[in-house]
Amino acid sequence: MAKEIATPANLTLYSYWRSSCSQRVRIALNLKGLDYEYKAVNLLKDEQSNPEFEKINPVKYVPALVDGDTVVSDSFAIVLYLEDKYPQYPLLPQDLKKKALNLQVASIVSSSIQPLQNLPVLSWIKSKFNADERLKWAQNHINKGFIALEKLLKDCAGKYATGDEVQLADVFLEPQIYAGVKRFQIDMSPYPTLARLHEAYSELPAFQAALPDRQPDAPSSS
Amino acid sequence: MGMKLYGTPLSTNATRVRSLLNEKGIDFELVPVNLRAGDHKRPPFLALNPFGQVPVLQDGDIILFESRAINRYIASRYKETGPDLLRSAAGPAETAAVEVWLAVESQQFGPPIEELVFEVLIKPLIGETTDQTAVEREVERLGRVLDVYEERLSKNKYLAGGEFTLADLNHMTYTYFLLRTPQADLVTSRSHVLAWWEDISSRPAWKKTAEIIPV
Repeated sequence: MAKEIATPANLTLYSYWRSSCSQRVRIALNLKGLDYEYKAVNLLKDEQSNPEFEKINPVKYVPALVDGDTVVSDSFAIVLYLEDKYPQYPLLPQDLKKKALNLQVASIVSSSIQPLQNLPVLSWIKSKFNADERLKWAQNHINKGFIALEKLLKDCAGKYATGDEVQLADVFLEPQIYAGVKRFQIDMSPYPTLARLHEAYSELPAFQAALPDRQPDAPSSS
Repeated sequence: MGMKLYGTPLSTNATRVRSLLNEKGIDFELVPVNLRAGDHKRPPFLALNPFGQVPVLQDGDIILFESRAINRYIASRYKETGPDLLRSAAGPAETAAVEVWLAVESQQFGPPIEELVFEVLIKPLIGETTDQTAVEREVERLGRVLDVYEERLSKNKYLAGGEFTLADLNHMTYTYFLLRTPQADLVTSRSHVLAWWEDISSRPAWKKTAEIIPV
């Protein structure tokens, strides 16, 4: 356990309530006990194209983190930055095998699943085909990713993905599982490990506070 | 207030109690119980509820189990806090109507919907297999119950009459869970039941309750 606790001067997170990438960073900030100012970027209204936001993140994706005069975008980079700068509640273990497993899970979610079901991709599919194909596309990629994750994690004993402590893998897993269950009607019965983890995360205050419905920009009618 | 509610965000019956505590604006701590590890079936927890189930409410020295009894206790003892969901100030016919529909929830609505939600939603999440025969049976049973509700709600805005009461609230958790299943059309195909749900689920306290439900 790290002995030092670093306190930030001024953290601002550009986030969209439903963005699973933003949710990852919100979880990490909560776990590390870091307060931040929430700035909403409405992806449905194309607010990521506002010049002010484009200056902060030229790729025009959320989330983006502003820490004093440092700007970091891309949730993977943000979380690793937080890990280096704010060592309290470390998200990566020292053990090399476990560390690699955490990075692998985070990478599968952030490279092999989420990008294939994010808003721009799904909007494109819907516009070329229809809403049915859009859902099937998303489910296909999420299921493929979940099959892989289930195999990777099923033999891990421990309360969370890679042990008894919440780590990087958990931070990346939960937003993806949550999106799968809540938005894409994924049947979790082939993934008992992922289902068990999802339930375990639902009980943690740091994860609860990061939930989409709990964000300031979540619509008042659901 | 220092109330402790033993339960989890996925637990339907703990959610029933949470929904009332939120409606009344009563602060509480949700204390997780490791159901998968079987903690609820072991001695420290059994001292709280000898039946080994969540939820359990601890209010000072008072320890209660059975979510419907807990809700009765909260609604009654704290009737001056937040809305009075028992309509204590109304006439005997109105207060009796609340009792009738509380009983209907427990005896008519509860049994089929609890089994259906358990089979279709909970079992896949806990690694068990859905029993399709049970699903078909409970869909039929619940359908017949909801036909009665459809008729009742075509004549009354809420179950006990013109106002939202504990009788409506006690239905909300399982209705929410049912709407997360392929059998949601049991509700959505019945226009008055659906309208009732849309009204009661738009209450801010319900939204707060639903925020942390993981399904």
